[in-house]
Amino acid sequence: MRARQRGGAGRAVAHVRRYRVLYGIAAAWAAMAVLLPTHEPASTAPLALPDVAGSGSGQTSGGVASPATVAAPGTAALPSGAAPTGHGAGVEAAGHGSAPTPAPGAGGAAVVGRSRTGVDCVPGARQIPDLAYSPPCVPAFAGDNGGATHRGVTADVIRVAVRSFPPGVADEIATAAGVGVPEDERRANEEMSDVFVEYFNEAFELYGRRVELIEYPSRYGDPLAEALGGGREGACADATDIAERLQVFGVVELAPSFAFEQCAAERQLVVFNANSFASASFYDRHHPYLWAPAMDCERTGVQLGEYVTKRLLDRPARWAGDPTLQARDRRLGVYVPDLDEYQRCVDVAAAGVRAAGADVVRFNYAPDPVRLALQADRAVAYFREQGVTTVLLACDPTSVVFLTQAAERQGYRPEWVTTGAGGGEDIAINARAYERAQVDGHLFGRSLLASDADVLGPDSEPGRLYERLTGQEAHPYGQGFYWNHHLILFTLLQAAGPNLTPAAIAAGAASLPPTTGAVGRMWFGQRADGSSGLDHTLLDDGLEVYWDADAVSYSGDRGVFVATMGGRRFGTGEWPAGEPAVGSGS
Amino acid sequence: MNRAVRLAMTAAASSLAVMAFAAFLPEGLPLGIAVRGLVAGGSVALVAVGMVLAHRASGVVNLAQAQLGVVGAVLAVELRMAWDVPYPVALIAGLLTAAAAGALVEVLVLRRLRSAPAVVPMVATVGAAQLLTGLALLLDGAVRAPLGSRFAPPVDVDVVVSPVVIDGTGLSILIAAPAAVLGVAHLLYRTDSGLAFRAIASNRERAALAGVPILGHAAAAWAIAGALSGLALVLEAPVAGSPGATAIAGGGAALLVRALAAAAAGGFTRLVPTVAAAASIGVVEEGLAWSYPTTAVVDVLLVVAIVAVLATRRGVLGRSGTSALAGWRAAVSAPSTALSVPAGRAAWVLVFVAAGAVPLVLDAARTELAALIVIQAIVVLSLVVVSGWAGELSLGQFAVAGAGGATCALLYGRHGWDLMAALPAAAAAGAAVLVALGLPGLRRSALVTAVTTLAFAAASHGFLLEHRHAPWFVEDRIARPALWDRIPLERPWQLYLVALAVLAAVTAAVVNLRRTRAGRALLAVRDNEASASATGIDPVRARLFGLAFSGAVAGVGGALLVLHQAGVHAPSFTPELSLRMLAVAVVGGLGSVRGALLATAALGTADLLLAPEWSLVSTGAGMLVVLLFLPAGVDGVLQRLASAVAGLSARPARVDTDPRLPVAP
Repeated sequence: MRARQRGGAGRAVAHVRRYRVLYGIAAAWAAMAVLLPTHEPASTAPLALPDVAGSGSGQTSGGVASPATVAAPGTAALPSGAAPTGHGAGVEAAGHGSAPTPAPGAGGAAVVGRSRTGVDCVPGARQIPDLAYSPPCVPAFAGDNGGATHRGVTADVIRVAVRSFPPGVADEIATAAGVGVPEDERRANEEMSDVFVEYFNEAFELYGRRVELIEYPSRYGDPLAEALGGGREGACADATDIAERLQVFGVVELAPSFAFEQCAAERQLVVFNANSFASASFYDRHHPYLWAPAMDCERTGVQLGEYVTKRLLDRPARWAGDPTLQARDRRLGVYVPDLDEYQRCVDVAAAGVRAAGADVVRFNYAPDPVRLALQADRAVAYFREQGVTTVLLACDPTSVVFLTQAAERQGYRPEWVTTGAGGGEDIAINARAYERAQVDGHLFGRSLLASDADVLGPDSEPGRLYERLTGQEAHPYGQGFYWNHHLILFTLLQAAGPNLTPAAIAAGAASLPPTTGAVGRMWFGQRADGSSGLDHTLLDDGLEVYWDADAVSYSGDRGVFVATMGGRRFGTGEWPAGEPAVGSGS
Repeated sequence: MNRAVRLAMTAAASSLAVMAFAAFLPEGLPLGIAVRGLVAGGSVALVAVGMVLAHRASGVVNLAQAQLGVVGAVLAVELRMAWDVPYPVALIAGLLTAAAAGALVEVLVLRRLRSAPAVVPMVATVGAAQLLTGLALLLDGAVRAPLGSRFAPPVDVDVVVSPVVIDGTGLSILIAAPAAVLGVAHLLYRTDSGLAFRAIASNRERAALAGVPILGHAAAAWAIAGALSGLALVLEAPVAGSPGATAIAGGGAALLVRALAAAAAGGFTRLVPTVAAAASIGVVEEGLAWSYPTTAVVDVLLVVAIVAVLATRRGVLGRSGTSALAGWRAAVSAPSTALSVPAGRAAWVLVFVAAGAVPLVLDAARTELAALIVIQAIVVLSLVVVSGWAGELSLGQFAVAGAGGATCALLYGRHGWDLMAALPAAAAAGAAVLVALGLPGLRRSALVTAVTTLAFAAASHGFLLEHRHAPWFVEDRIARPALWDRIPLERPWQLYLVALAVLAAVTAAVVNLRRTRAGRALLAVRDNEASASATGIDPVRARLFGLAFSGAVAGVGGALLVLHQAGVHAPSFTPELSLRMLAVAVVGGLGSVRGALLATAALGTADLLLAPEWSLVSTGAGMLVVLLFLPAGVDGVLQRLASAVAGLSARPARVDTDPRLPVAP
């Protein structure tokens, strides 16, 4: 027995001796973990958002600006630790020349003065009187703007990159489906963009600086991969390149990408036209770097649920193309990409519908351009088998082309409902590519967009402005593309005040009062659930439209979306009950 | 047994299996869905039959089968859409091009590798696949079809098969696929050439001795395989929607996995089971899609079904798998012994120090991508262990890394673990996953492990690593820490240096493993299992150790990748990336540590500098060049260089001779 014990001990000793290096490494590793901990930094702490104009302490009466310079840099909007992880070193430009002169209006006091556009800044005056969405008037600034307040900012210039992709496979598929952007339209967009940037540089109060837009054709990004929800490696490399090599303050994206936006925020780049339809929590997580002109997906979900509940449920599907379906009470189906953010949107809407005692048949498609047609075919068969009378289009317009083609082939004629959540399914130039027999009289729903003529036509704000500035009539579609990007960019830069930082952008956004015009109410001051507080998306409301295939648009093209109820727009909790007035016109 | 009876029995068995499967589907399997499944299966069958033909003629598992036709298909679609060439003319041009591509791959690549171990030509097909996909994308980029032009199917008829309508594309496939397969069957079983094909497949040497022109038949078989692939892609083109989409469809893993599974079901030799399996796969996929209206779920369930079938059919992968990989173990080059020499050690140190200076010459974005290449090198080293030394073929190593990375992110990001505790957990997770994936193949063939790992890669990418589908496991956003709460990892160069340090540690560990008893046991089992057993080594235990070690290394690589990406992102762990990592390991010299590192650096640099399509072309062509002209890989070149330098520097020994002796003439 003792011999055996000795043998066992001997074996143990031999074992330890044999693996002594491993045991040593393991012991050292354990000691390191205990003595020198490596924990996740507290940067993901819950976010505290600043008060907004009209909701509390920062309120501005009468629409006169209180630019964000009232807040010390980095204190008002950005609580400590709220910055996403990132490549922050070197972001705050070294050597601020001096403390910037506070902008007129600091402290929210009523301001009297004259703006650089010659407007007397009385309460309610706009910086650019002709523009409904102009921010409030700010008296012309004179003094020290603080110089290099942040990366990409000097005393004279604010550098902003414009990220773009060369045409790729995704464009090719969209073009083949008829929803692509023609080359001449791209060129017109760019020409008109230059005109507007030049004008906005003069008209907006940028505190002694000018915006310099720097073209950045993507060097490492993969547009297709990013459109499919991936491509993070290349997108992040682009963001690093933009931040470190170009040394810019922010970015305007010509092809919004979730991956790029996350990477940009992590590198402390402000994105001025982030992806529409991301969730509010997505924007909150990346505060104060992502700002979007449209509507976050929770708000879209809440309003879509409300729209469906009040306008569609418990009534026959009278706008369906198939008489048998017309006689049935509506049964809803939704076609949605299998991407986190979109799914979250639809989850919110579906919860609203479920609360009303109904259900939604869901088809989650992979946003793989190669399989769009195949999946549309499957979805149509599935919806029909499930007795769906009404298909909610929470999908890209190319998918709607394939869906309506598949439905036509399969003899399935439901109601098609725009949701405002798909990213362009409710745009006329896309809808003209849908299968006409399927949508003519059968396509209607909620939309975020105003009529084409109000946004793009020669009588629209950008159309009139372009004509005034150049003496030429604008390209039929040229105004719309960059307009919103530039408007939100310059509005936020003006609102931020002279001490320009991402935190000042957030404070500036919070200080802006709501504005209303042809495209609805724009305000950073209301959360998705209708409560007051900073949100990162501008648009607050939507309207109801239907597709009129015979109507002629301002550009002479046949087929437009027509607003019902006189084009009235509705925010959260404001939708009236009643059957959609398809064909009634406005 | 009569062939017709066998055919009928196979069809009946497949039908019964599908019906049994349908019984478990919540929504059943209506006739129209089954027919649409046959449409999908038709395309898979065309590609899988091409794979069988290529294997019969050359004994190679052709991982480029789907891509053989991609250049021809894109050409056909471009001709039709951009120049309005009549469909038959475009189709013929496309098929001829595809056939030429197939024949060229055989003549220029595989013929030169016929004496190489079977795995080398198989990996060469991965290179050919990359090259052809890159060429197809370049062709697509060179021509722009006008707005709204469409590639319509040749048949413009819709047929209602409740609950769906089969359109012209579907009908074309339903007509053309069986016709093409019957044509191949006729060629194989009713012609002299077919007899020759079968003789070659049965015994190449005996066929050659009997006067069968093996080389000519091989080229013909690959030409037909190329044409079949081209036909499948052209028929599917109206669904894909554009030439570029056709190129991507041909180059994607989805078609490859399905065709590979069908061909494997037929043992890579038999047509009827292959076609039956392809049809079954199509029907199963559509059946799943009918019951589960989420494409990602369908993709995963399909892969699970394929693996289940392959794993339960013992005869399927046993014999053929072994024959396909018979040379695998012999293909492994001699392990590097560089670190055993002081000069070699100094060279390693110099290399790593030089690599540490990379951020000084690259800008921040490129440094960030270089860090990614360093992390990939860690995964490639794990492949050196599992495939080079343990002899197990892993086609899903990046997914194993993903499992480790997700574990690290979960523990560190969500549960607040110390990173230094989360890293070993990531290694343990990687080890556990690879052991689990390798278990079914331990006593069978390396191809079983290949299929299970590839399936795991597909499932991980589509489901397990997706936050939406597995929120309990996937943490999609973490903050990079400061190491020991002191050294930040925010800037690209900081992350790069940390990744490089980990790579250095892993390299030392791997090289040292080779010198330990466990490492020697691995190699002994790899070289001769019976002899190893006779010396008291337990082969199963040795392989399990190899799998665990490799999985642990991959897990650490995955953890670093998750830190690099600040979260788990499924698109960072694609099956294509796993295949590419294997190809890199082969280019490096399979079992060579330094070869693997150099190959990763070289191919990674090409990725950094070139546009995606040119990167595909260059890395594909580079792989082929290495495999054709440098069969021992990068490491072989290094060894030859070292020998040459040693030869130059060696002095001849001085010999004293007696001057009285006559001088030799």
